[in-house]
Amino acid sequence: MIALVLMGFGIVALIQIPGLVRKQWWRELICFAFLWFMGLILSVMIAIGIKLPPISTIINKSITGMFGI
Amino acid sequence: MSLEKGKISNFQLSVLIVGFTLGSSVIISPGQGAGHDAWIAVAVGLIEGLFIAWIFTAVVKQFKDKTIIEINSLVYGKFLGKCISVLFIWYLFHLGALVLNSYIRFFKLEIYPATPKTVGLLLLMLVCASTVGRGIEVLARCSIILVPLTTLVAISDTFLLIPHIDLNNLMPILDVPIGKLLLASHGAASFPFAETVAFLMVLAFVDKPEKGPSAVSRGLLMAGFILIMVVARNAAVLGQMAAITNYSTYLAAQVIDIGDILTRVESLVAINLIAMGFIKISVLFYGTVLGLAQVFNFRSYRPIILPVGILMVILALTNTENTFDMIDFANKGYPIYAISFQIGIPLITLVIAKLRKLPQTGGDKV
Amino acid sequence: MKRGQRFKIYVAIILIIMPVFLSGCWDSNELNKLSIVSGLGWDIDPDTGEVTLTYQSIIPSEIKSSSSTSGGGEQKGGNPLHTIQLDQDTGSSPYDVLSRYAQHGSRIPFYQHTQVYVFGMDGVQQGIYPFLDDQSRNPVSRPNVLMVVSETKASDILGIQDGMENIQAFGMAAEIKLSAAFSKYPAVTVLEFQKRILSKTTAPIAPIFGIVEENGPEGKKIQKIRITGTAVFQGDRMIGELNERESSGLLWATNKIEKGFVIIPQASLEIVQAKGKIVPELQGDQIQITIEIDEESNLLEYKGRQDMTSDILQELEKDQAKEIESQVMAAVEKSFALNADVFGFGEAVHRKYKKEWKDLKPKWDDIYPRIEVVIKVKTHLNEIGDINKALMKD
Repeated sequence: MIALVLMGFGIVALIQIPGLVRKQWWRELICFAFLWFMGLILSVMIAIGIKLPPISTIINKSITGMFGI
Repeated sequence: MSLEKGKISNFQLSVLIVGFTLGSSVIISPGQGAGHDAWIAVAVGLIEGLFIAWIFTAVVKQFKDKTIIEINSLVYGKFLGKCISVLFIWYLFHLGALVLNSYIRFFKLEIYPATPKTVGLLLLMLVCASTVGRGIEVLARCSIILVPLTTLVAISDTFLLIPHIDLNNLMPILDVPIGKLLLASHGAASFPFAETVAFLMVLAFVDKPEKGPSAVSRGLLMAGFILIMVVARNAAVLGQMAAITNYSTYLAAQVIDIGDILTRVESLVAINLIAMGFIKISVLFYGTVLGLAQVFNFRSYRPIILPVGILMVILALTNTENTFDMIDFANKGYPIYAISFQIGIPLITLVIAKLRKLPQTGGDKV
Repeated sequence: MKRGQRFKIYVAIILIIMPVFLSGCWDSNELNKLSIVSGLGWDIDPDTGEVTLTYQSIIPSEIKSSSSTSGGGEQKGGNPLHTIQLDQDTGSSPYDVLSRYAQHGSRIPFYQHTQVYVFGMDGVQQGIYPFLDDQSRNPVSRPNVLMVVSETKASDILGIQDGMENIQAFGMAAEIKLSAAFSKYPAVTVLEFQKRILSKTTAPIAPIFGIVEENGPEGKKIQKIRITGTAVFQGDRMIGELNERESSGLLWATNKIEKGFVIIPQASLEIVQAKGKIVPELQGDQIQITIEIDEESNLLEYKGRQDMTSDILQELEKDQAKEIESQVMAAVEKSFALNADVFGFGEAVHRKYKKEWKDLKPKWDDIYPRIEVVIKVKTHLNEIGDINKALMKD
């Protein structure tokens, strides 16, 4: 499963990075790399089994807590 | 504005809005809290949605040809504007993940119980990514084909259900206490009508910007009528079961049985969800990547499409701990959480813009 | 161009990979690995509370287009016309039983073609709620399946071959729909049952099947199934039954009459069209319900040996009205005796008197037997048939 994740992200990088480097679009490359790393780390965490924080639940709890519904 | 070179016509905009609004509502009917008066809740929600649409189209009318990101930078100044824009982009991104979540929940429950959620989500996301990468024109053209088909299915389903409709199930009218009705209509307004605030990213590309707001209203009205018809028909066929079922359109379609030959039409309802879900997710996806590109002044939004898509899938998978939390969020937290983006940001931006008498020729930056 | 070539290679790769995803391989259902369940039977053992589920599954290879009649085939084994196979499992709850299917079956059960759910008499007396919850929640179930109560055990009913149809459960479903079309007994789908249970004042109903023995060819006794009544439930338990007249009365009142016959002492008439309307009136604390029935019929049989005159026509219309009224009255009296609102009077009152209903609803069990029922029947005799004079006169 982790192998699949790494392969997938590798393919995505292979598709995008050569083009960006060639065109020398550094801003786009930095943003891409940042998002790519975030995705990679989160996906590997899911693949290993670590539970990620459930964002909608957190938002829900804060709102219902604030307004006391 | 070199990020997006395409232009869409007003008609395409209306159709796109119909597709977006029908989005996941073809499966999860809005206004469920009102019992058999759900159709009234949807109608009231439509009015509220039209009102909200009037607010945010007024923002675009002030600043022609600019997306909300650019408008924010002009109104609030560069730094504060970009911060508020990032918040708005977060809303679009989160909403995209929510739609993906409801989409895959339905498919995993009813149609593909054994397929892993990740696979379904990735496939859908790849299709949306490819569409978004080609620009808003392509998306508008797709919707011109998909939306009439969906409308045709919804209307013909209603006709096929005529033998099973018992109008007594809709009576007595206004049986539900007014408080509950208003809550349900506000819920119907925030999901799905006012979610069209996402079009603040799209309205800049209409070829006749003065006619933009009326196209939005037309689209909302059309989608609203379809939804009212669907919700009323579901309640008429299913009676009180409609209030406790999660997917009432699907259940109602299962009842269709003409001469033992025309049965199992509910797969068409599932196909409707695929088509409309695709449009809604693509619009939100487009808004997110275009917004990010504008905030960081990219030359093109294409490089970040795939990473953003994968992150959206990840959020869709880890959104909530279980289904019950999702329903709770949809009923309680979401209507309030969404107000800040659907009404808050556009309204405050509009007020400040009017106060500062923007736009001025020559630009006036703080 | 180099870019064009690379593009083509990418497209080729995608086209090769796509069918893997598009064929839905995770959820593939191969036909020869499925056992299509045509009927499901539910029995509860009164002493142990254990649930027995009987599956009637179709054996596809035995379905032949030419139907050969060869007496009655019952259980599996050794009979030329066995198109079905019965299996049984016992457990403590519906899914406990369903999960044991793999212990005796070689195929995965497929419920999308199930025609009937049969409930044994012991089961309905104890309450069928776990089954109902499973039906409503489980995404596999369909709302159009017919509900049936069995006089004895569900497994008995599901095992009896009824000559005409290839597959027994299909025959049973067709029989129920036919009897509903001919205005004898109601056909109740799962959706209908669920709607009645959700409305806390209306009583759910379901037709009852029983086994009759008849004399068949060569003097052998064959067993056939017949509908013998309508079961009346309170919540999920059966509390009583309506006989043939009462069931017809119920259909008259709830506007479910389609075709059928009205039999009076001097004549038999065919029903062309009938409408039934329930009109509630609230006077202070007293509820009065008027059942208005409007019927059109044709004359089929006349025993009077006289020529038809318009006086005789009017006589016949009046007798017809009396017969219909007595059928409906029988149904009303039985429902009062059982204190079960099978007609939906409660919902009719709710629709008309929104505000008062909030107070009336919790007391419905007390109010119901005290309702005044007035039956008004209007009949029209349209056609007198092919002859206008009698064959033999007195």
